[in-house]
Amino acid sequence: MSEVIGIDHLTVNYGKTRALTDVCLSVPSGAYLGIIGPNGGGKTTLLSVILGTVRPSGGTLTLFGEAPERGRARLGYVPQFAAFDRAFPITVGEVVATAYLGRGLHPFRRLGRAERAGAEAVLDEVGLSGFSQRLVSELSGGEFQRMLLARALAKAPEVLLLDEPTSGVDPATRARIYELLTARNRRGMTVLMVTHDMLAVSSSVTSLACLSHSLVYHGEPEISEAVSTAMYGCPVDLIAHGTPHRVLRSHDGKGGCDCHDCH
Amino acid sequence: MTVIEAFLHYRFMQNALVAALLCGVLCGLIGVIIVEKRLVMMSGGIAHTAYGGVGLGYLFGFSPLLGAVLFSLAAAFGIGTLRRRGGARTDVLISLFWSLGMAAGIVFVALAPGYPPDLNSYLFGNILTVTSGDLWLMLGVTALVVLLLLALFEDLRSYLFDETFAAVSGLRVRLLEWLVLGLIALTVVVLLRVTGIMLAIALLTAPAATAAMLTRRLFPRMLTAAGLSAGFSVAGLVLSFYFNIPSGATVVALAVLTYATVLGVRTLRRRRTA
Repeated sequence: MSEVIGIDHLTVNYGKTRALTDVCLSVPSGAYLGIIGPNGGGKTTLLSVILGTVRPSGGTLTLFGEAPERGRARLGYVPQFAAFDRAFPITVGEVVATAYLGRGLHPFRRLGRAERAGAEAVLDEVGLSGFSQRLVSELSGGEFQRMLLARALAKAPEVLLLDEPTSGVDPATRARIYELLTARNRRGMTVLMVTHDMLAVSSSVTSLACLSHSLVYHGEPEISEAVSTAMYGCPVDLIAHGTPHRVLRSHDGKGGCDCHDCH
Repeated sequence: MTVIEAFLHYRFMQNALVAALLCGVLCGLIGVIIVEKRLVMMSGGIAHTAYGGVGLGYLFGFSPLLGAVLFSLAAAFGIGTLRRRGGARTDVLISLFWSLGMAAGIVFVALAPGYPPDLNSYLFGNILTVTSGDLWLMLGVTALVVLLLLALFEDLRSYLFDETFAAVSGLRVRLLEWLVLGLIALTVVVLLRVTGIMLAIALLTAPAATAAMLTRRLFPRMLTAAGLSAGFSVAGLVLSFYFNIPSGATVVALAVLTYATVLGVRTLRRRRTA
């Protein structure tokens, strides 16, 4: 399979702070890669370099064999839900339709019937049919997240990047998002998902990368105790909550788990 | 004499009326962008930095408004560039530009030969002193803002809602950012004659914030803010005529009182329905 993302000895520094050090990773076409790691471990930074919004301090990253700025038009991106001003006066349909704007500037461009129909179709796919005239301020957390997913899928991207797509959403929405991602992946779309959700790691992704400033592990979606200890800096267990949800928790009781089920 | 007779007979009153309407439209349109993109403090910084340009104009004998244009554009692009590069907090950068601009203005005026000029009209505005030249500047800036907003509305809405996604989609986000900052700087200069440097921020935010409570979509919000802002400007002018009070301060007081009233009514309604 051809390589869609090639990362070669990538290093990213923010001033004197090292976010990523000497990361090497190759993502083939059609992969479904989960990226896990502790908070501040460089997961979002890696996505930002792939998106071309953060420049590497060292090493290289290619997207479809090109610089990220050139290849990123073929990407879909679902950002972290928490980063939004949800009071912004825009409807769900208008948000999804922004995906159709394309490159450059578009003087006097108004969205046409075909684009509105495309937005409706993708909203239907994520379970938001009939939502297109609703304001984003009227959406629940799960609906907002699905709207962002619809926007990312609207232009049928070859690679989809997701930054914690299930944080703050209910279990039913979470399951629906994973089903949708699995279905799209089976139809050939490459998926890279940053997550803290171990359910996704154990049941959805086909490969796993563990980041803690450097790449601690890359391979099958089953991680050994030695790898998880190296990643989180302390021994961790996979524990259950009486639901199919599994999380990491440290033996010493410190941190390790961002899951709201644990708090 | 009634205010209608004054508008019919006096050129300075006619200039003031046209200036009030143009400023209203401008403040409403740009104000919504400022409020939605959370650039209120940035706009305050740009407005106060403009004072350095006013002082420079007096020192070297050219138009203080031209000096204000240069300084406010330099502040907008300076803060924008430094903020993007990182390494310093945006609020710190804004406060430094804010203070440096004011300090430079004070020093330049002190160094200017002869008696120091009266700078109150630049600090607090005096719409009755608007000249025909000022009106042409206001008309040009308002036409530019209206044209650009109509032409690039979809691009701007995408940029304002989610800058990162817009950049990833290939939208020219950097250009849009410069455009927004440049238009804020020009709007601030237009406002110098009406509300002055000290009060400009209120007319840029209060009508837009009031419109946000009355409308649900972006374009109607811009139109409502423009209408409110023009209404406040004309009403402020009329009140200042009858009560012989400063026009800029009256306009701002009306805008802020209306915001407080709408907020109060909305809060009461929500409590009743809860």
